[in-house]
Amino acid sequence: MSEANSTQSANKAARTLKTSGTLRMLNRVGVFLMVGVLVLVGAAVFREKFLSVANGLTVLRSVTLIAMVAMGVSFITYGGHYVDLSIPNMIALVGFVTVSTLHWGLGISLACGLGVGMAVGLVNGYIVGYLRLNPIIWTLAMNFMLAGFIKLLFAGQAYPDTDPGTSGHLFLQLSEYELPGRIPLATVVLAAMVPVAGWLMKRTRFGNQIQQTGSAYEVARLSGVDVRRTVLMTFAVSALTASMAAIFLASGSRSATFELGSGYDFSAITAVVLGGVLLSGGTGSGTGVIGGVMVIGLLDNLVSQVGKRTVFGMDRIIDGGLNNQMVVKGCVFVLVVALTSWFARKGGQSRG
Amino acid sequence: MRDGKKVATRPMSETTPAGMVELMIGRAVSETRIMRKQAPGEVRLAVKNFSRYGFFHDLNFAVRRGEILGIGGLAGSGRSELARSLVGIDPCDAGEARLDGEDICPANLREAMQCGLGYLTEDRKMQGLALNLDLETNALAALNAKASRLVAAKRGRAVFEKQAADLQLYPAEPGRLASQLSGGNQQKVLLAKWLAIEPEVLILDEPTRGVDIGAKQVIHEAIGRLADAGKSVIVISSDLPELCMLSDRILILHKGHFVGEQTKGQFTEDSVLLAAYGEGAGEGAAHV
Repeated sequence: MSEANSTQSANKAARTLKTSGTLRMLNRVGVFLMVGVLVLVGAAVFREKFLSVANGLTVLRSVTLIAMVAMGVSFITYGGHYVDLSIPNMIALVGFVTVSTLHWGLGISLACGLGVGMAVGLVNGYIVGYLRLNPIIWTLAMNFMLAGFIKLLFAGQAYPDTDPGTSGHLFLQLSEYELPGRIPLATVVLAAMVPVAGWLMKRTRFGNQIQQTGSAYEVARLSGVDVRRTVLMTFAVSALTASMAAIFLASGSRSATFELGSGYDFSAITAVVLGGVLLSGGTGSGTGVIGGVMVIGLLDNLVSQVGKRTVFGMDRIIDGGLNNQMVVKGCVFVLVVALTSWFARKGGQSRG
Repeated sequence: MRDGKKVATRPMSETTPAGMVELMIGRAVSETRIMRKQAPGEVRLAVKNFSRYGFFHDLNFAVRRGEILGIGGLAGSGRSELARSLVGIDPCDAGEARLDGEDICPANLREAMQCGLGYLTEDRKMQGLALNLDLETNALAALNAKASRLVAAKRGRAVFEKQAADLQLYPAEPGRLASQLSGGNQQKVLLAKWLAIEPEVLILDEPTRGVDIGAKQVIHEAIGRLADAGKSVIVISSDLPELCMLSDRILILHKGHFVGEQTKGQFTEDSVLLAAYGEGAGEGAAHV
């Protein structure tokens, strides 16, 4: 091999290394750059209407519960099993169970709600982890089954008894209670959840097993990792955080309805992917997920602001806020997945 | 080139195969024999009537302290299946395995690892290494799976650095992705992963498949060191020169049955190959 050739290949190797380093860096902070850009765009276009404290709190409120669900879902994604699509109706079921057991006392009803949610998560985890069914197909089926189940068992809506002094009244306090600085209770719970999730993922054996399982399932199995139990546990974690979000949601809407959790599956997975957890598993961090959720929240907020104005004289957009949000979210998801898999392929990992 | 540096440029006319090898691994070829310090000791792993129907049947064998037992045979003769059943990856239908007299019947790989077994897979890319993870995570993967809690960062780094030095890993950067390494260095990481759990009996399935000659030498030396440290090693290999050079004893599998046992001095590459085809049945060694 000639000398010129050897320096050339060395250069090339160095360049590949550098790009992969930058990429990893970009993967980590990119989502926060997006947050910054969105805030700037919002500030530039909508001025004080966007920058107001009230709007900030609106974003925070809408984002908190998505973040809670997304934190749990990120465990599943990290472990290489995409997402739990039964989350919407899992949330609805938990809402119904919690609200309709309130007459036994708040503690018992919360325990019932969380228990039912966990049970659904454990069933999903068992079927995906031990019986190795495709996670997307199975949880989609589970979502339908739960929908039927709820409609069989419960009337269209369930309202808590909200007289002062009843447990129903206390239940509403869950979403109404605010800490100094108008920070909702759910946000505090989330703030406690983030470091716990980060610790679980990066500093425990459980997290190490998820990383191994998510990176290469067969390799993990042949390294002695109990892959089946690991997958089961990721679904259980996801179900736990989704159930907690469900309780806050039911409290916030003062009722349980069939649509309580609709859209949460997709919002959560979009946030997870935005936050740099690759759909192929094995990489990502809790803080990234929070960044992803913030992007979603800001996007929703911006789009709904657009929806409230009449753009180009088209009145239809006025009440199209929610639909616009869905379109934008879908586009962002496709864009991010396309970008990450493209970068992954460029970085020499043909796993995108 | 060696370790990312150019060592020599020679015109075609001056090169010989031996000279090339010497330049590539930085040592004379005459040193490529593995010298062993001691003879095998007492029996550690004893396997009786071990069967997985359809793959291997009624296998009886023992591995001694400090012994390298070779298992030869054609692909599909049941070599890997035997190893996988021994360490609990696949089930076994009948028979027993005893380590130091204690009955081990691992239900899964982790149990086997805790009993002191290890199994290095033949398929590095699909089953051996997580190519999108870094070297340290890969090297500590088995250790973390075996332990009851995550290995502390400091200790993990020490383990990685010791293995990287022992196996002359290049580049020895813990944060480098496994996919960026050459096949030989990937194989060293895979070996490091199993050496890290300090197994009593290590089963190596094709330990040098798709590996350059320098890495091969390093891996052979590591296997020798393991045996000298009083551990037992089982080597499964299709590479006959390698099998003959490493093993103290070779068992030959043919269609799921042992058809021959040949000890050092008895076997040659020809005799092993002959037996692997189901002919000669061990005594062949006398005629060759």
